[in-house]
Amino acid sequence: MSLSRRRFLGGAGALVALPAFESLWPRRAAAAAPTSPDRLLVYFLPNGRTPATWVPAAAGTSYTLPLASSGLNPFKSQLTFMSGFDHRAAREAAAIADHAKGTGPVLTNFAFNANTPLNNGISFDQLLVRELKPTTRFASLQWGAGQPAPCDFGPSTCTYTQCISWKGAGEPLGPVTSPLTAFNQLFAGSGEGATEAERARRRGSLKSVLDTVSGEAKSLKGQLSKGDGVRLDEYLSSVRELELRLTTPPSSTCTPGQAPAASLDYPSQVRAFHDLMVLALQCDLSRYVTFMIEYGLSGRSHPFVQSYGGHHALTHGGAAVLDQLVRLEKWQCDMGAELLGKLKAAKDASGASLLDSTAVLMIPDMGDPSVHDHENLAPVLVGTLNGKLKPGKAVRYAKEPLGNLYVSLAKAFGLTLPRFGVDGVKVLGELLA
Amino acid sequence: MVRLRPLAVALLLSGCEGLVEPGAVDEAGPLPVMPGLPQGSGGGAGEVPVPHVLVAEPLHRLNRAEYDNTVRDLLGTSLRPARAFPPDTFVGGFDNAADALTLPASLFALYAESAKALAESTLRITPRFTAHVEARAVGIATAQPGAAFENWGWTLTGTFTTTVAVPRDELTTLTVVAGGAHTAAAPVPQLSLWVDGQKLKSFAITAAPASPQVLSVSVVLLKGARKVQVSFDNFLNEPAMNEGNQAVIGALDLVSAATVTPPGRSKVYVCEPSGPQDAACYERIALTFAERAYRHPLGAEETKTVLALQRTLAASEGAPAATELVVRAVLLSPQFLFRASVAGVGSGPASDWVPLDDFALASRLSYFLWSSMPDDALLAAAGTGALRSESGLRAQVTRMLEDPRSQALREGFAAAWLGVRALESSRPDPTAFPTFTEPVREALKEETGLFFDAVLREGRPVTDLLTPDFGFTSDLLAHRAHEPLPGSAAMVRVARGPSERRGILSLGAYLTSTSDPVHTSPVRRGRFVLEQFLGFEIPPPPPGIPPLPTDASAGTVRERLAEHRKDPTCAACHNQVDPVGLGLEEYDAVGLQRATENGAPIDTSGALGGQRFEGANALAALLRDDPRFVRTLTAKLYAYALGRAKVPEDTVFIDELTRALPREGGRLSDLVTLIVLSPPFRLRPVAETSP
Repeated sequence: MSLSRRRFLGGAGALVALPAFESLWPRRAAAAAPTSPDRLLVYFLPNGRTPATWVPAAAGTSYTLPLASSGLNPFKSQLTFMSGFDHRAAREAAAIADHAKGTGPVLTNFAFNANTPLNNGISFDQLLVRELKPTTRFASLQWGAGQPAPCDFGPSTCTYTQCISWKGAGEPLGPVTSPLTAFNQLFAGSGEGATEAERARRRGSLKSVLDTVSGEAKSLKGQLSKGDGVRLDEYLSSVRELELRLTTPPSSTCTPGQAPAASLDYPSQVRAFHDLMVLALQCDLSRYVTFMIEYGLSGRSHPFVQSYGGHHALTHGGAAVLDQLVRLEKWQCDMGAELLGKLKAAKDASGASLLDSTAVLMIPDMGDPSVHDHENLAPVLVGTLNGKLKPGKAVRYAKEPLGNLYVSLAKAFGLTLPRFGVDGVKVLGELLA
Repeated sequence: MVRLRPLAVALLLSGCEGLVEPGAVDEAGPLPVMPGLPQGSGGGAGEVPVPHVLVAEPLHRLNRAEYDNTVRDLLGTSLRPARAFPPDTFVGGFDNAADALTLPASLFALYAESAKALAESTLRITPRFTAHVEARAVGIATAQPGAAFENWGWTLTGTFTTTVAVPRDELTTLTVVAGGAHTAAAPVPQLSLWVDGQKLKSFAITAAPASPQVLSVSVVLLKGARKVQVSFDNFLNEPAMNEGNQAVIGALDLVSAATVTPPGRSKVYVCEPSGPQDAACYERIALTFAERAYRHPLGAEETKTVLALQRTLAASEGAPAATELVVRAVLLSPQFLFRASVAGVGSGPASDWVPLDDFALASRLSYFLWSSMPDDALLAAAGTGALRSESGLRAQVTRMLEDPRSQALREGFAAAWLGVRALESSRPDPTAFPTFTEPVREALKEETGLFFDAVLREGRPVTDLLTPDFGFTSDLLAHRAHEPLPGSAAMVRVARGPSERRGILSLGAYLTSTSDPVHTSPVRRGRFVLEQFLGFEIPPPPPGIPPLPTDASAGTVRERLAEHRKDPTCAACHNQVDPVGLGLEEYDAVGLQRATENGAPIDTSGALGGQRFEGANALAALLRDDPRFVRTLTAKLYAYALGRAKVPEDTVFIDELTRALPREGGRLSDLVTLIVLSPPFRLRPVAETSP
């Protein structure tokens, strides 16, 4: 083998300085899909937002972002800052306390009754999965950086404060909270065996394994009550998803980089998830991702931004601790902005910025947390969704049904929804291009 | 913005009315004879009053602890795969309630990963010693990353050196992945492998970096730190002439010739195959493993399914690899992942009750007491029908409580009941409480566990939970509390008098986990006592809560709460809840005893319903004499035992168990026995199955 020495060493240095995840860049970009798919990324913010430091005072295209949301300044032309949504599902949810009421239906818009175990509707991300039937390796992904904590009053409250994605009643999709687990989830089963022939044979064997356990579940189902049959249906659908993944191995253009550490401090945990989200979208492993920076009713302390009290306690701590609360809310928004920056910089297989093909919905569980206000939600919608959204402004609504936000987003994704949840009936034209 | 919704207030008031009512324990009426035991059993048969209705155990996925313990007992593994699974949801206070144990696709994918790791780590005979060094990870001054070559190696310009710790003398094979290139006039690169300055072998590097070659040599490595080197013997770099050669190395691997057999392998390999063609032995391995993992004898259909899979896989992958895959299949089977899978359905009156299947009952028993699968003795008892008699069940309960595996009740039941789980996420303010360190957190968890375990397994009365004459401490905990050191770094038992801190009300875990980061929360402590020990369900606070000032200038927590209760909306509940917690103010926000708060002497006056008391020990005495305490404990242990949230049909059984306890002996272990003997645990209703 002969080659020019200069080329030899010049090539050697080229990839050295790149951070770990950049090596996962699709290598044969030109050969992949020429157009970007529509993507949804939900970034959940717990414990409401303090209106004075979160919501812009003015509406329209000329407005100023107050302190806690100021981290979004670099993205002003790509976002719509909304306020004044009425979260009726939260107000009407029964037999449970306010943070569970705010968080549980934040994407389902379903007024559940917690006395029925795991009662809820389908969440918006899962609606997209159901209607658009993605063929990506993962139909959807649910991640979060929450730590287990007390879960509010009422039955099954942990499920309502810890899950925003729901396939439907009885099927909450709890987030994976370890970046290492999420990493392994993304790249598991990327092939057993040294050669392609061995890998193909192993795929066949694993299909036999999964067919066998499905068969066992089906024969078991005949012996059980209807309620238990539902649990086995869930089992069967989970087996099918895994089987689908086995038969669609990950694209050879996307290979895992270095796995995140097993133990990370909280900001590093959040950032590791950011990298994984970019990766999952960039490699088209999934198109619908929900992320909870913390669970609803978060009691986490954020000493690294001089915010020492537990988050929830701070929201009821009055003026004495308001500065701590605002620093915390600002930090969470800044983290979201960090992710937006990464999405903007990352290009997918078509060569376009991920932020251009994605609708990023940053949404809190309530308005003013000090009074558990469910009538003034202020979410932020970032990105253009391949030109289907019309960002670049602040919109102030007055008790606008939250469901209309999802009906509008559905429209942008090409779906006509006659109704979503408890109050979604119309498209908000100003959000769409 | 502060709005009070009439509906919420109405709910709130009605919700808190129960707090002033005494507990509804019906002391009258005889205990019905334990119904439904078959002929020849110790319990006898009896007529059952109409209101006794059984609810079937729902299909129950193994929760995280159950999964880890089960694979431990099944495979002898030390892996704890469930640590990577998402937490299970708590329903009714416990994370083993069937309704909440869903199985989304993301969890099933983790089960698949776990099954693979378990099968490989249990069945594969592995080298006794291995070491793996990524050349890039070591790095040397004379090398630079060879990322141009598929991102795997280091480009050598000198000698690569690394040190490997060898645990004992080992015959070892060293391998190095390498590739190279050279210009026309330059020599083919040559690399040599060295150990401790001695050259072992030289290699001409003829493979391109894109498809590297493997250099390999075997040598006896002596115990200790061994210096391993790769030298580049004929490096040439003449830029002016545009002549040169290059060598890239990737991973260095050391693998001993001696092997180790994982301890769990013999649990699966019940026979040693004479060779890959020994189908009889391989099939016996598959069937025996499935039977153990499913926790019941295989039915004809199950046998057929397992054999068919073993044969299919043996044909395509060879028998040894097929065994690994069958183990993976069994670990993904619904028969493994769900417990008591054919346990009866629906609900029904006594006339329709039948005994639970023997093996389903064995599993119910082992998952209650051990959070794990039945052992051989329990399966044998199920096989002989011994679990159908009262004496047979009693014998198993006694045996199983003596077994160390019953410590699972500490984790599964006591830790959830006594606030240890919540301690995980407590973040006391480090400035206010510098003595609350991570070792202290661990010690407080252990304190609760040891205390519960002692009461359960030493046959102590349930009242010892409240007013025992002993407790547990360590040098760490005693030092922090300014108490005399017991002279032990590990937790040890110490005597505790009636005026000393003792019993569940004094446990640091719940005292800390019910506090805020900077101060105590009598509200949360009061709620904890009322809910966990007296069985109340406290309604949620209404929306529009005025903030409770947190700064010390607003007075003691007691004074701040008094201000709070002036609001009539708050008063309805807080007049009931706060005084309970206020009586525990002798303990600060990290569970340490204190005499003052903000310079003022601590006021420990509290009230439970209409009864006034001073301090934690006085409250403990009130609880000890309150029939609601035992009833609440019974209800919680009952729900945990059955693995489902309590339903209205359970009330009559819980009342009977509560009344039966003194007659049985009043010990905590007696309560376990009574629950196991009760109809809801042993029997099932008959109802139609789904089509």
